[in-house]
Amino acid sequence: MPGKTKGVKKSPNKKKKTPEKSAEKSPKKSPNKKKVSPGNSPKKGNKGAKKGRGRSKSPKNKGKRGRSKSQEEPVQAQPQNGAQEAKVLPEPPPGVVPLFLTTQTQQIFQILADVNVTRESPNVLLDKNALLEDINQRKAISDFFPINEVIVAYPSDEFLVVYDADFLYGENFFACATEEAKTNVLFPPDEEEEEEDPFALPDIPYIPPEPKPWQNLGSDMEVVDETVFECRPKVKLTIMKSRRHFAEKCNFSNRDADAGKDTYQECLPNYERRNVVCQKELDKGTQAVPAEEVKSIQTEYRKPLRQWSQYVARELSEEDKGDVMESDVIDQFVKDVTPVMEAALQQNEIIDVFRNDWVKLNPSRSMMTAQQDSYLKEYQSFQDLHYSKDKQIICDDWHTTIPGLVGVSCVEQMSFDVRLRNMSRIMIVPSLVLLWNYQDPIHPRLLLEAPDDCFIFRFNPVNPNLVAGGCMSGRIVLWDLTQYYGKLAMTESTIQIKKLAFLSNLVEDTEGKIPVVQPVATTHTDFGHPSCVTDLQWLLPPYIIDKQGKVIEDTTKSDEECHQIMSCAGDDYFFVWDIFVQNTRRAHLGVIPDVGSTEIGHWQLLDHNWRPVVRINLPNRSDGTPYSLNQFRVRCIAKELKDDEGEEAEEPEETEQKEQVAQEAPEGAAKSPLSLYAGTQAGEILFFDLRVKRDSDTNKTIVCELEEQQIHAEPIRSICISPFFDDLVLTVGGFRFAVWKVGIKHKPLMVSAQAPSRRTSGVWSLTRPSVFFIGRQQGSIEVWDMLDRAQEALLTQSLSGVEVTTLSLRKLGRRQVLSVSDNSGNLHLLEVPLILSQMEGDEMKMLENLFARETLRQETEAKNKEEERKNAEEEDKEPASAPENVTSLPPVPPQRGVQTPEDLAQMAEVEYESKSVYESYLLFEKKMLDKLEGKETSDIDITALQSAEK
Amino acid sequence: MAAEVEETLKRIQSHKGVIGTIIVNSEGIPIRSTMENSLTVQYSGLISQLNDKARSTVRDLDPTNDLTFLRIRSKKHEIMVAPDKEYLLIVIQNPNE
Repeated sequence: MPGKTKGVKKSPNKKKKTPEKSAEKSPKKSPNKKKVSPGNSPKKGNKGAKKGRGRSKSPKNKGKRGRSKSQEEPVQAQPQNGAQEAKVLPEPPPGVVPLFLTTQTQQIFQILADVNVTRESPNVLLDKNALLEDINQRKAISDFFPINEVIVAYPSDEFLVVYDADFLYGENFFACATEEAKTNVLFPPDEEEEEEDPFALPDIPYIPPEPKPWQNLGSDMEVVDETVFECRPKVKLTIMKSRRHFAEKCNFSNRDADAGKDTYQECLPNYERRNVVCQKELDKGTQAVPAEEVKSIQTEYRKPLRQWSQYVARELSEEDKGDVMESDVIDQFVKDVTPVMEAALQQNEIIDVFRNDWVKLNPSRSMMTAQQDSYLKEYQSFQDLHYSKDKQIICDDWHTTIPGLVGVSCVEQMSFDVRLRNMSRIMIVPSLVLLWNYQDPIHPRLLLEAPDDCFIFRFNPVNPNLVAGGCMSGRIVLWDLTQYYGKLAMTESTIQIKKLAFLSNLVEDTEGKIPVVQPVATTHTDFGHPSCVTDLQWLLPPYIIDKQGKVIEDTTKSDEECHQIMSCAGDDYFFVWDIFVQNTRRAHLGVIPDVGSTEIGHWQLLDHNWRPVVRINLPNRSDGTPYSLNQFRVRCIAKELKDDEGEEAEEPEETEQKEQVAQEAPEGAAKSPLSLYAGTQAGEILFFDLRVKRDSDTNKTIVCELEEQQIHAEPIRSICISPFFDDLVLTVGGFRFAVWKVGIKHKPLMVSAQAPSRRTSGVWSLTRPSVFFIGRQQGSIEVWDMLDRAQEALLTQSLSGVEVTTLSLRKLGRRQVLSVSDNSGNLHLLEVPLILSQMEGDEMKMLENLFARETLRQETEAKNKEEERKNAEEEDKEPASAPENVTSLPPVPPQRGVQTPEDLAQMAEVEYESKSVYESYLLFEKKMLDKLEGKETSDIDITALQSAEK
Repeated sequence: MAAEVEETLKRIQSHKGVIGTIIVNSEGIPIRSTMENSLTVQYSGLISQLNDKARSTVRDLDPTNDLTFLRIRSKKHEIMVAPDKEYLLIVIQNPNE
């Protein structure tokens, strides 16, 4: 076929051939060389074998071939471009002959460039014989003529001609002269590549993957989770239409929506009853994370120094100093300066520059008169509807350790006759002492039940768990609150919590929760007081009274115990009780002494078997009648006694007195550390030291010496010792009160005028020595300040219309609280204003000055009285002496309305004396008349008498 | 000369409540003192500074004026300073004594 075509298109290629040949000639050198080289020819023989070998390789390099070719071409193209520019063509590989084929030739062999052969498939195999024939036909015109020899020598029939589109070897075609070159071109060798890639992986034979048995690693769960199971039967729907409606004709027309019911379908909301499953369990995770805190701290960094400098004050040497001192300059300086300096110094000497004028102003005095905040303010009031309403609070006492705990004893307010009439009722109603805590004004904390109306009770000052009380029947009772201490000391909040707890349980009524304490010991009925106990006091350690009535210092028991009680009951004697006496008796009986024990066993021994240690009688009055004690206070004067012993020489009067006492009462203790102030029901105030003697006739223990003062006309309601001066006593009874200073020979320092209503109680201020409070029957409270004014109360404040029965003061935190109990069962706590509770700096001094002044006054009064008496005596002896002497003694004017007993007594005395003076004057006048008128008158008288007789 | 000075100082010292007397030169260096050394140094250094300050204050307010005397009343003492051209006399007095 190609042979036929080549003959047709021979001529047109001829003309073109010459210009191209010239260009062809230069690169022809290398094909010539190739022709010559015979080394390649032996391979031409086994083209088929090579072909087969190359083919066998082809499956492996099939992919590579295309790639390598495409790689090869641009790589080769570039050097070709560069070669064209440089006119240096690469040397064709051996066996390759560049060949220029004219278009005619191409048409003959049907290898038209870019038509039959392209850049992508440049190879074409031509028949050797066809080529030889073409050479024979066209001779020199044939393009293959130059390589005639090569073609002739070519061993194989198929001659490879390759289209060289890029003119790689200088012509548009090249031919492969040898079989080897042909193979290389057809199947480019990849040895080069293999050589180029030394790191290529070794050939691993391909093993097709085989299925493995499935291994479960937990993914089955996911698979199961993902799987959808049928949990309900499938919904089946059958849609039916009757046969006759099939292919039915239908006429459409317009119609209103509300024309008929079937025109619209209404979907009304309806409640769907569905089982809603609420989420009851919740899976949640929490994790405790340690709290983190970012903090920073900085240490102070000072710049380190390697050197320091220290300064020394400059000083002049001694020589320099001497020079200066010698100089005229200093002399002149001193002369100039001295007068000014001396003037200044003298000024300071004249006036005290450091005087603080502000302190000297003393503003507190002036504040006193100011109305603001000077009244007693009600702080709290207690009343129990069941136990204290309409009863009289006869006694109150503060717990010594628990702040704000106050006890009150309530008694029926009845006269003796009424009481007798109502005896049946009174017997049933329990007599109680209520213990209040100021935090709860409605519920008492504790109730102490007494066998009888308890007229007086006192907490033990050392162990406040012990409470002693005196009953109307004359019995002394003792309560032990040890097991209730926790309840008493409880704060309000804890109680409320407890109450709430109870309320929630509804187990018990809160009122029923107030525990009632029964007395642990009562006195033996036969040995108690025969009448109502009026007063009771614990004896403060370390003194006790022994069986002989002597006051001894208790050495056997520790100072921390207070175990003796003194009581009185409207008679002329005191009882001394000891809560430990039974133990000593037990000790005598051979039982192990259990001195400090307050166990129940001990109380059982004491109960109903309690007898007084000693009974101390008072001597009778001067008219032979016995006193009837109502109130008393014990004062410890041991310290003073010790002082007196040291100062015997300085105070001869007192020692004399004591010696006298010692002579009079050899049986009693020479000096007693205890001094008593007692008030009687008749209004006398008795002062005496607790020195006793034994009366051999009646076998009674009697107080040796007694001083009696009568100021009050009615029973003494209250005796109070000042907390600042223990010889300063306030007594209240009847319509007046009196302040006594023991040092002033038991004369009252101050006596109030008669009040419009009875004064019922009194108490000293705890913080101001000159202030005291007085309660009155009509329900008011007076505040007195001895230093401010003595003629009237500083403040009178009405509290209620009911009689104030007792007053007591207590510090409650920073406040000072005055507790006022009244006749209707109320206990009021009043807050004492600051100005009444704050002591002024010089108050003690001023009060001491007052005492000194009063002492002086009383001394001069006594002296005057003494003189008066002497004068009177002299007058009696010498009636001729001038009667003016008497009148010249002016009575001491009463001090600003205060009626001291002296004044009263003095007035009486003056009256009496003036009367006697008047009588003596009458006598004197008569005598004088006698003297003047002489015998005449006497004669007349005589004659007259005689005549009369006749 | 010096004897006279001594005598005058003694007289001042004998006043009621006088604790100490110090003479200081214009540089704050003590020349003569009846007090112990450390106190003297402190007093002379500090008081001379205060004196200078007080003087400058007075002079700044009125250039024709001058400081003649300085009294410092404290809780415990009174410090009196009599300044002159070249020297200062410091007297410390406790009038309560």
